[in-house]
This record gives sequence, structure tokens and C-alpha cells, in this order.
Amino acid sequence: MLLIPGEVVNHSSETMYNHEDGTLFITNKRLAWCRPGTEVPTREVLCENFISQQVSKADSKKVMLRISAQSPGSAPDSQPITMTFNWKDSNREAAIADRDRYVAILGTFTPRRQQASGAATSDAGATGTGQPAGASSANAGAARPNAGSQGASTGTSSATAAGRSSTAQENAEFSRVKIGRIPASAEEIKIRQEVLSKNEDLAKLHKTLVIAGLISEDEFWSTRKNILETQAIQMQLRKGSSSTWLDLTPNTQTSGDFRYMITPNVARRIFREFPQVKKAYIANVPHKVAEKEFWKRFVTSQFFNRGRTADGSRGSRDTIFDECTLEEDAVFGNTNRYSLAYLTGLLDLTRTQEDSTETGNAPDFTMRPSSVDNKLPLFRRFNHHSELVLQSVLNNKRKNIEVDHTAADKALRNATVLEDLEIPEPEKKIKLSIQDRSRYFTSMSKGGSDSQTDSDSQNAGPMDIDSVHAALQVSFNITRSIEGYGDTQKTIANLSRSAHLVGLQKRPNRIQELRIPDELMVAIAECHGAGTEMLRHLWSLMRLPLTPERLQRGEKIVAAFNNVRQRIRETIAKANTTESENPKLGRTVEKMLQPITESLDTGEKAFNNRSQPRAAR
Amino acid sequence: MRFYIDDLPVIFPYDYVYPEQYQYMCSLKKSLDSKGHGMLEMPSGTGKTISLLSLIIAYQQFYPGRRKLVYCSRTVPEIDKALAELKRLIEYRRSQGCEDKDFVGLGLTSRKNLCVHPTVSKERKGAVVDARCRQMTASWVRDKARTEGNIELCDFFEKIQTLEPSELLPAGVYTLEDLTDYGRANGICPYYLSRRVIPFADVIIYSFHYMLDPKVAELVSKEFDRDSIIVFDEAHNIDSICIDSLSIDINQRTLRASTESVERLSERVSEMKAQNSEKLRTEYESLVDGLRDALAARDEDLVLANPILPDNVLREAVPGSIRKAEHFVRFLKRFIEYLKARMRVMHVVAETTPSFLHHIREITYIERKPLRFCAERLASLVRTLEITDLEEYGALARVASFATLCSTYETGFVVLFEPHEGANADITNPVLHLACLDAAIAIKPVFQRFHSVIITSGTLSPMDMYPKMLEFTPVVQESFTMTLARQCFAPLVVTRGSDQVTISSKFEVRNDPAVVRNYGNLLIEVARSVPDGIVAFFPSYLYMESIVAMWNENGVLKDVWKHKLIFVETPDAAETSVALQNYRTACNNGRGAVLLSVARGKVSEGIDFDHNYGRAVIMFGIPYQYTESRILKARLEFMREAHQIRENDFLTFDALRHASQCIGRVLRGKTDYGLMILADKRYSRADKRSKLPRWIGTCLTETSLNLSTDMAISLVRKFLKVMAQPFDMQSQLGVSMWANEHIVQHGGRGDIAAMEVDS
Repeated sequence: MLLIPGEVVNHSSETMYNHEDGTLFITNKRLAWCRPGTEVPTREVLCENFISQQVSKADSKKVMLRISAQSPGSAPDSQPITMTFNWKDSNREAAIADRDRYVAILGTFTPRRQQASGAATSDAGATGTGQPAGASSANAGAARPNAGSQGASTGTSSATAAGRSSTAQENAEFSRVKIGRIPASAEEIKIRQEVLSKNEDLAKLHKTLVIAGLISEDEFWSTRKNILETQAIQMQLRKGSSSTWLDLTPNTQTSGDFRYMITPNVARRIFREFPQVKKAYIANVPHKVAEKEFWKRFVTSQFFNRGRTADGSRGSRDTIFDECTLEEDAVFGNTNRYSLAYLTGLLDLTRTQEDSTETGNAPDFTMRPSSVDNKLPLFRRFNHHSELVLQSVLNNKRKNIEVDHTAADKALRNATVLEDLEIPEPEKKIKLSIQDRSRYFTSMSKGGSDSQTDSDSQNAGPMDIDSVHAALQVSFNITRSIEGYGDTQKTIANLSRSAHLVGLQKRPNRIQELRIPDELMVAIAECHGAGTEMLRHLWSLMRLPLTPERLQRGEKIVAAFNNVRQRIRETIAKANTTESENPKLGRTVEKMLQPITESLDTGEKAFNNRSQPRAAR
Repeated sequence: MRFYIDDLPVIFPYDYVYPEQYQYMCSLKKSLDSKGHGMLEMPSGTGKTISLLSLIIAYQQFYPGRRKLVYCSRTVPEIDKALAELKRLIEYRRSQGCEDKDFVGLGLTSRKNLCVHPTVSKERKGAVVDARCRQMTASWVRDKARTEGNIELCDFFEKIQTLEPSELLPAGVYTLEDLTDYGRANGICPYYLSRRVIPFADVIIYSFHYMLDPKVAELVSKEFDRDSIIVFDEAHNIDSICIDSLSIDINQRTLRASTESVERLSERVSEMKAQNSEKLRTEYESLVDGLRDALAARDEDLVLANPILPDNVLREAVPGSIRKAEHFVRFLKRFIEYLKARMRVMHVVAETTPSFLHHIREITYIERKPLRFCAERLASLVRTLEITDLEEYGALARVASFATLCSTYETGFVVLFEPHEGANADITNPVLHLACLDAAIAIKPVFQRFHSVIITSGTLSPMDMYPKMLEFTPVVQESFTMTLARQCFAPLVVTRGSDQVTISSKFEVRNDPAVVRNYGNLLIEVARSVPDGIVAFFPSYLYMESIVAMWNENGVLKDVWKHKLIFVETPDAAETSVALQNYRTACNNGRGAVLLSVARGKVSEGIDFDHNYGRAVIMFGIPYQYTESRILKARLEFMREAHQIRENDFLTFDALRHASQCIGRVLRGKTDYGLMILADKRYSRADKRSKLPRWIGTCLTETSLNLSTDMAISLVRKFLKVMAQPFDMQSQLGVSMWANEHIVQHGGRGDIAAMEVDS
């Protein structure tokens, strides 16, 4: 492959792209794929354009790597391009191992966008941060060709702060989306994609209708605004930072060495957890020590290792990080940093401590922090980390903790009152201002009797079927006097109750009774779904004055009916062949699909009736 | 509601009463009637405090004599809570037509918690607040200010001096917060206000130390009537508090600081001699007369007080050898030098107080008698020299107290010199301990002085231990169980991990990787299946450190982080308080949190984990004391000889009272529910189980006694599922909850009038 000046190939291997054989190269500057025998890459992704990578599931048959990247020269918020590479190595293990080398190296590329929100598509909001971060990373890469852990470029530290604001910005964008505009905004399209990727059934329907060209994209979504709105809201939700403990575990190399990967994401988290390291980084990188060197010293330092192993003294002394240790201890050790004013009185242990002078023998050494091998910094880090996680979610709410007198009283009350010993206060009822009470009460009485029958029928249990039927046999004997038969309401209630019971007897829980296999159920539902959807569009077309364009679309839809019919036939055929506990499975399914077949026929006929005269004219 | 116990009308500020509350009040009344001491155990969360207050207030207001109630509690938040309950009770009584004329109830606490002075109250350390307060309120400072001006005084304190005792505080109940508010609003110092009001108060609530620590008790508690009712709530630890109040440690730092203080004292003495020997002479004369007079002005000017006050000491004249200030200073110097010399020895020495005194006399010719007056003489000198910054003399005061204690008691103490820290001989940190071994010494005056002393707690089992240790005979001794509408707590004894390896915190196996792993897995599984808050207790801080570090290393905590946030108790109170606050926030938001803390630590005593703040508590191991501790060994020996308590009995008793305190933290009432997981093989043994409080012990069934982790988790799931069902307490009327008619049914006397209205 032809190399750009300063470029070094880190790894290459045989892969397939678009069913073609070729070679995938990864260098310190780009990822490139060449057809066999050619020197110029067919596809390439510069590392500053790189957005994200995905790998196939560990248990899937194929070994694949999908790269998404910004197409070169395009506007920052345009759709990213994706490309998928297939490993054809027959040895799966080897292929995965090979692929993972790419994954590892790609991990060091600064992602073009900080996907801080965790949303898969975060196109927006990266304009500010992505570009400079990527660019500086490229420069750094050029300076230090053998990229081991250089991923955390100088850009990342600035991105730490910017990362969060970009998330907020991005979220804000979704909140402004107006669903249902034509043509759809870019954000809406994104939301649609998101919905489709999540909802398999909808995606299928979308495929049969929209991609087949039966109806337009906008029409398809026009009836599903609520789904889009829900999704838009979900995408607006700001996710807090992960609560997991930052755990840097080294990979063991074949040579037995340890290797730590410090990606920009990891670096960002390190900076967040250890502000001292961030300070040291800013002070030292790159003019005093190279970035790689910085991280190398970090992972070998005592500062880094003291909380990680039971043996706290591991790790070497290091001027930069010894200072961090001191600083951290100074910060953590200074308990005055806590503002006790925000503490609820009931939790403030210092009040008890200050209540009496210290007396007694000091606690024995098992009840004190060990003086030899101090775990206190680790504990403090735990508390600090948990606090950070909480703050990232509740930073606004926290300030509202009230510490005034009434709040203290309330806290005391909550802590002392035994609520169960009090007669519960009747629930507060809202007075309804009803103007016409007479009608209100008639409906009330009706509702009352309804609920009565309901509860009756539920309690009825096994019941003499004949007696129920008998109630329904009304024989009008006009010769009888009508005295004493005045309670119409009661009669009607009786009648409807009996009818309800008979209905229950005749149709128990049908779906379960039928014992239709799950896959058939799905197929049936799909037939119904597709058919109904098409019919809906067809009928809505027919209600409008016919234009040639509409006519054409109508014809298309009607033509597509055949697909549905075909599917229905297939389903029925399948039902006939499937073994089942229900001997009449085939017939049942047929019966279930009958209505939709009929509707389709009716729809087609109606459309033909409407369009034919026109065509004849 | 209102009901009668014998002829006493009790007004109880709820609509119903738990049966155990009613029985508790009956027993309490019996003990008050007989003017004897009582010991009552009632499960946590069943409204012990309110039952106690309701009955005693009713008693106090109904019978002549109006016996004062002195209620001692463990922590300031508990004092706060008790005051809030009292306030509510009095309001309720008013609404029921009880006049309770001139009723005053209030709490006492330190300056740090009460100060309202704009700058002083901002100080973070109690000692600093004390010092700055004294600088503005000491009598000689105020005298000087009157003549010289230009000296800052505390306006809040000055205002109080102008008021008559009767107009200090209007009747009512004041929580600590109310008191500071009142002080702020009226420009009165709440600290001194509360101390002045003591004689007029009907109810006083303060912490144990104010009654048991002789230094403090002398100031606030000595005026109480013999008839007063003394209550020690949450008193399961009372013996340790007694012992602590009479034990002293001296290390090299103390001695260094004392030397400096002595130097400073001698400078002051010579200075004062040069300027104005009048004061020193007056002091000398008063010392000839005995110490009584010198005590007169102690209220504000206080004071490096003496730790013990056998009456004869006060009546005797101070021995001539230390009457003169300069002689006394020299005497102190000599004593400190002696201690320093003892500190240089590099092996452990344990001796009785008489042998220690004997040794002193042989080496330094210091007699026993002047040593006995040491503390009091120092206090007197400090006063004479008009020293306000008592903090600087803290170390010296400690040495003086040491001398006084040593020379006063012949038994019940041990003087122990340890050159090394812990079991580790590498670290030299010589400490001279004076350890009180006999809990009865500190509490004896209380039992002697007052007719009715009530000791109560959620966990006092086994109850025969306390009368032995504290040397008193209770007239009433009861343990109540919890009547339960539903089984709202589930004690589970986990004895092995899922891999059937026995788990235990026994010293030999506690660091075994298999045990550590299984403990870790238990935590992970519980974190996975229990919602909201989980509290885990470890037997010692050291063990928590090592096991948490190991968990962190082998990835156990990584799994826990996935389910919960983790907070850890640290030795610092402020830091732990913040962690607790965050823990609560985490329980209120999201998936909840795990709090890792230590049995016997600050969290295990006094912080409640009610409702969602604690759905499960895990006790990893049995919280035995460090048995190699020499002080503990000495105490065990003393108890075996003096009280016939076997070592093992005491150790197990002590470990299990702490364990039950820890697991009792999750249950705060009958609507609450929680799991109590005891993770140690040894809990399944009968000797351990029998020492758990009865209300927990009875719920330990065969099915929950010997569980592996996976069995326990399936029980946990089942329990949580049942508990999550809506539950109507009202259906429990008559079972775990009584109205008036149920009291009558059970042979009591309800309020007939109220019943008629009801029906």
C-alpha cells in the first residue's frame, strides 16, 4: 500500500469487504482497505474521521468489524458512512484475535464524537469538540509512531469538560424536534432510525411498505407520531455517568508483560476520579514528559497501585505521582472540606463527638486504621467516587436540602412518630361541582348495578348452565297482569348477566385453548399488520379525489395485496403441516385470517370500482 | 388515648398502643412505685422512648412530689429525638386537658452544639469553642473588662447575668434547636441558659457522660433530688461508658506537653508573685481550710476538675507539701519526670495501683496523699493564676487526674505500660494506661444517690450480666418480645458459602481466600437481590480494611459496584457523616447503596437505617473484642474474681450485644421490614444464640439457622416478595395493636368514658 509520509503500518490482514477479497491495513493515521494487487486503497478512514466501531457478537458465526466514520470533507453533522469487514479465516479463534488487534488500535483513535450520552447516534453537538480533539490526536500520532497508549491525546483533557456540555447540547436538540413536519428534519430521521433499530416488528413492516415503495416514508410515520415522540423524549434523557468503578486491568501480553490501554474515555474517567492526575497532566504533558511516558509512569506509580492491591506498597516512587499522593491525602485528610451545614442533624456524628470530653483508653489497634499499610485512601476514594456518581445525577437537587428549623423538626418527626398507631386520616376527597345532579345520579345507579353484575359473575364460579339459559328464555305472556313486574332495571340486569355468563361459557379463554404455536402467532399477526396497514392507506387514498399520482400509488398498493395473500396462504399451509395439539390447527388459522382476506378483497374491489370508470373514460 | 395503670391515668399520644408498650409501662410503674431500680429490655422500633416518657410524665404530674426525670441517652441525635417526642407528648397532653403547669423540659449538650455567638460558633472544634468561650466569660476576665474596657465579652452571656432565674426560660419543652433559636432571638447564651435552668426543669435529657463521668457529673448532676428518676436509655453499653470515664492513657506526647505546661505554670507563678502575691496567699489560706470554698465559684470558671470526689478528700485540708504554688509546681515536675523514666522501659509492665504508688515512693519520695489532691490542687492553681486557655493545660490535667485516680483506688484498676503498639513489636509507641476494670465504681454513686434508676435498651440479653457487673439489684427485670402482625424481620444465619466452605471470622480463617471470597459472594448476591440500602458490619476496623482491600483486588467490589454505590465508614466523624448523608441520598435515588462499617463503630451506635435506608444488614463474623488486648485480659481476670463471670461468657456476651445492636439497626417499627444476615458458622451454636435478645432469638428457626449463601438468597427473595405486599395494620387491632377495649380485655383499666364515646 502507498503510505502517506510519516505513516507506519501497525497491522494488516486479509479481509472481505462487500464480498470482495482484499487487505485491511491499519496505520497510525488511517484504516485502509485495498483490493488485491492494487496499491491505492479502495476505502479508507482517516483517524480524525473515525467515529465508532462495532464488532460481531462473540458467538456469531462470522467475524466482523463495522466502522463508522465521517465521509471526508463532508459537513460535520452529515450522516456517517459505515463499512463492514469480514474475516474469512477458517479458524474463528484466530480471526477474532486478529480482529481484536484492530479493535485495540482503533480504540486509541480519538473518536470523532464524544458519545457521552450513550446514545448510539450522536451526530449532533460534536462540532465544537470533535474536530480539535481528532486533529491533535493525529499530530500526536505522527510524533510517536509506535502507538501503545498514546490515544489519550492532549485534546482529551479539554474534552473532559466539553464532553458534558456537548451532551447537554445534543439533548437540547432533541427536545426541539417537531415530530411530523414534512419534509422531516434531520433529527426526526435519526429518531426514526432509532425506533426501527429497536422495534423489529415495525422494521419488518417498514420494509414491506416503505422500502417496497408502497407508501412514502412520511405517510408511514404519520400514523406513528406517538412512537416518535416517546423516542424523542427518551433520547433527551440525560444519562448520568456510569456508576462502575474505574477498573484498569492490564492485558497480559504473550511475553508475560502487562499492557494497559488508556483510551481517551479511560483518561477522561481517570481525570474525573483523580483531579490531581489531571493537574499533573496539564502541568507536565507534553512539554516535560511525553504523554505515553506520563501514563506509563502513572500505572507503575505507587499512587496508582496503592489502592489496587492488598499489598499497598507495590509500585515505584515517582516524583510526579508522589506529589499526587500527597495532594490527595491532603485533600481527603482535610475533613474541614466538608460543609457540615448541609448535614441533617440526625446524621451528624460530630455532634456526639463534641458532646463530651474524650475519656477512656484509646481503642486497641484493631479498631483503628492500620498505621503500616494504610487503606484509608482507598476507602476515601470509594466514598468520593460514589459521591461523584450521585452528584452527576443530582447536582441540582442536592442544593435543595433544607437545613432550617422546620426541616429539622420534620426530620425529627419522621424519625420518631409511629404512624401505624394512629388512626389513618380519611383520604382527602375532591368536591365535584356537578350542575345537573339528577342525571349524575341516574348514571351512578347504572354504574352501581353494572359493577354488581361483574362481581356476581366473577363469584358465580361453576353454575348451572340451564338456569342461566332459562333466564334468557323470555316468554311474553300478555295475559298476565303486569302488576309486580315493574322492576325493569332488575330484569335487564338479570338478562345482561345471564348473557354475559353464557358468553363466558361458550367462549372461554380462546387464544390459549387454540394452542397455536408461537411462530404461527407471529406470522398471523404480521399478516394482519401488513394487510391492515395497506388497507388503511388504500382507503385513505380513495377518500380523496383521485389524481393520476394517487391512482398510481393505489394500484401499487393493490398489487402488493398479492404479496399479503401469498403470505396468508403460506401461513395457512404452514399451519396445516405443523404438528400441534390442536387437530384443527389449519382450519383455525384459516379462520383467523379470513377477515383480513375478506377485507383485502373488499378493498381491492372498491378500488377497482372507483378507478375503473375513470380508466374506461 | 388515655388509659389507667392501677390508679394512674396515662395519656399516650397515639390512638392505639402496642401490647408490649403497655406491658412495659406496667413494669416501669411497678419499679417506680417500689422506689427501686429496674432493667427493661424492649425490641428496637417498638416505641420505647415514648412509652417511657408517657408513663413517667403521667407519674410525675399525677403523684405528689413531682419527681424530676433525668433521661440519659447515648448520642446527640437520640437526645434530639427524645426531646421531640417529649414535646409532642406535652402538646398532646395539653390537647387532652392536662395542664402540666410550668412544665420545663430541655436537653444539655456541649458549647459546640449550642453556641450562638456569631464568630465562636463558627469554630469547628469543640475544644476551641470551649476555650474561646472561657476567654470571654471567665469571672476575672469580666472583672478586668469592667475596669479596663477594650476586652471582648460575650453579649449573650452578659445578658444572662442580668436575668433572674425565674425569668430565664418560659415553660415548655425545648429541643436543642429550639433552645438555640430561643437564645438567638432573646440574645441569651443557650449553653449557660440550659445549665441555669437545671434546678427548675421537670425533665432533663443529656448524654451518659453527664451522669457517669465524675468530672461532668459534679457540675450538672449533683444537685438532683434523691427522688429523681434516672433513666439510661440504650444502656446496653453502660459498663463500657462507666469504665471509660475513669480510664486514662498517657503517652509521650502527653508528657512532653505537660512539661511545657509546668514550665509555663512556674513562670506564671513567679510573675504573679512579683506583681501581686495577694492572690496566691488567699489561695494558700483557703487550701488550709479544705477545698470546699475553692469550689464555690466553679460554675463558669471551670475548670480542670477532679475525676473522683470521695467526700473525705473534699473535707480534708490540702497537704502542706503542695499548698504553696511553687512547691506544687515542683511536685508536678518531679512526678512527670518519674513517668518519663517509666516510659523508657522496653517491656510490658502491669501492676496494681498500690504497687505503682509504692514504686513512686521508693524512687521519688512522693507520698500517696499529695497525689490524691493533685487534680484538685491543679484546678485551684489554674483558677488562681487566671488562666483561661485550659486547652493548653489539657495534657497536664490528664497527668494530674492520673495521679489522683491511681492514689484513690486500691482495687478495680490496673496500671499498664505498653512499649509497643498492638502485637507488632517494631513500632515503638509507649503508652501508660490506667485502666478501670470495675464498671461499678463510676455508677455506684448514681445507684446510691437515687431511688429509681431505670436501665433500658433494645438489647440487654442476657440480663443477669448487668446486675453483676454494675453491682446493683433491680426490683424489676423484664424482657419483652415484639408482637408482630407479620414477620417483618428475618434473621438468617449463613454458615457456608455456595461452595459449602464454612465461613467464619475466626482469627485463624478470616483471611483465608475461600472465606474472603465467600463473604464477597454473599455481599454480591445480597446487593443483587435486595433493593435500596444495605448495611454491612465488620468485627473490627482492621478486618474491614484487609477484607475490603482483598475484595477490591479480586474483583468482588467490581460486581457490587454494578448494583449499588459503596460507602465506607472512616475513623473521622465528619467524613463519615457526609458519607452517611450521601448513602441516604443514594437510597432515595436509583438502585441504592451499600454502607460498609464497623461493629462498635460510630455508625453502629445511634444511626438508624429504617425503611429504605436499610433493607438488609449483613454482620460479617462475630464482633469479638481483640482478645490479646492486655487491658481486656486484666478486665476479664478482674471480673472472674470479683463477679464470678467466666471469660468466655463475657466475651460472647459482649460480642453478641454489639452484633444485635448492629442488626437491630434495620428495624425501626412494625411497618418497617428488614433482613438480618448473620454470616458466621458460630452463630448457629446454641451458646451464641441464647445470648441474642429474646425477640430476635425466637425468630431464628431451624430453617434459617444453617444456610449456605444460595439458600439464604432464595429465602431473601421470598421474604422481600412477601413484604412488598400491601399490608393493612388496621387488621391487626387487638393482636399487635390495642385500643382501649383490648386493654380492658387483657385485664387492664381502659378509659371508660372514651370507650363509651367510641361505641
